[in-house]
Amino acid sequence: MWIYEKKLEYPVKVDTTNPALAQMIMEQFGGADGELAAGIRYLTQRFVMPTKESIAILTDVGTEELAHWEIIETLVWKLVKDAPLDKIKGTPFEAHFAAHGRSPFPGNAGGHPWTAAYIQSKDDPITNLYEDMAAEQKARSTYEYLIQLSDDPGVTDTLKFLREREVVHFQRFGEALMGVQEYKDTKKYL
Amino acid sequence: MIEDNKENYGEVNSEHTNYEDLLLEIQKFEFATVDLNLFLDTHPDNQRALNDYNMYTVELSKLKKEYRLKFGPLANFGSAPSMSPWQWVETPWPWEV
Amino acid sequence: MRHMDDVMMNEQQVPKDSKLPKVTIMDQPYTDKFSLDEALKKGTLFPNLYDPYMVSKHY
Repeated sequence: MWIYEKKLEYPVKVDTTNPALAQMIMEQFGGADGELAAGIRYLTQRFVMPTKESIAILTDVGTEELAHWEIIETLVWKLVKDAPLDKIKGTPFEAHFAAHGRSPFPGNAGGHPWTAAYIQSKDDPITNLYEDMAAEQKARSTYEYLIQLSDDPGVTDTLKFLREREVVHFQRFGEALMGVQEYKDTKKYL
Repeated sequence: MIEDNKENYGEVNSEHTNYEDLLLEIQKFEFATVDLNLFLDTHPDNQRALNDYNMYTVELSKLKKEYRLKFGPLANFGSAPSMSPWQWVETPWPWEV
Repeated sequence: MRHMDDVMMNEQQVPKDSKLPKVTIMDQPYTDKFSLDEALKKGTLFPNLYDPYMVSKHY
């Protein structure tokens, strides 16, 4: 079950109004390698994990990813909420505005809606953990591109925080993989 | 972006001037517990990590109690009691801070 | 600080009865911690997992 804490994991500050940047950051809101994909992937895969530690790490990282999804949603909102029409027209956000106004919507930077086709969950914990490690690398790379694109200092700080979390998650999934491999190896000889 | 407050190891400043200051302290301590929680998930027998997790959790509870007494529940669904009128809807939403 | 690539090593010696190649992830030792201020700003409590990103000036 999830309960909701009325605070963000990180103190997000946004210094500018910038719909074009908001549109790019949506890549981590509803994109293939974004936080929603990560959260749903891990929370779905946890059922077939063979050890209590691996179930725990998928549950807890999955939960943290949803908290990151909330941070991205906040970044996008703060970047557009005060944008007048003449700051929206002529930017990539104009297409989003046509469909949604200033409301956030889970799609990628190109406007493609989120789909479960972005994730995989198989009845094989080794397969799943390799996918998870790949997911964390893809997310890290994506944050690096967004950091390059950002000219808002508050946004950049937040993106750097989120990028480092991917580095940590990669390490945890690697450790979980070692644990699951070891478990499977010992089971073989029982 | 983050204030350079001097951190008192094991001691929590119990007087916070405003909503944002208290929320920031909670974010700092809770983040430490998140990172330690993940470490413990893959290292459940690490006693040092467990001690640190418990230490930060105790301090976090004090901060959350201070929040609750001043502003009402920080989380929903029975996490903490509320005064009247219903405080949960009154406090700022995270994107409003 | 370690670069992410350092944490993964290809296991060259494959056990005779194992058909698939295996990857080894180095376990993280529990050593130092950042201060809480630094940890939140950097995105981790652990200096040995901190991998700061510097934007390349190439382009």
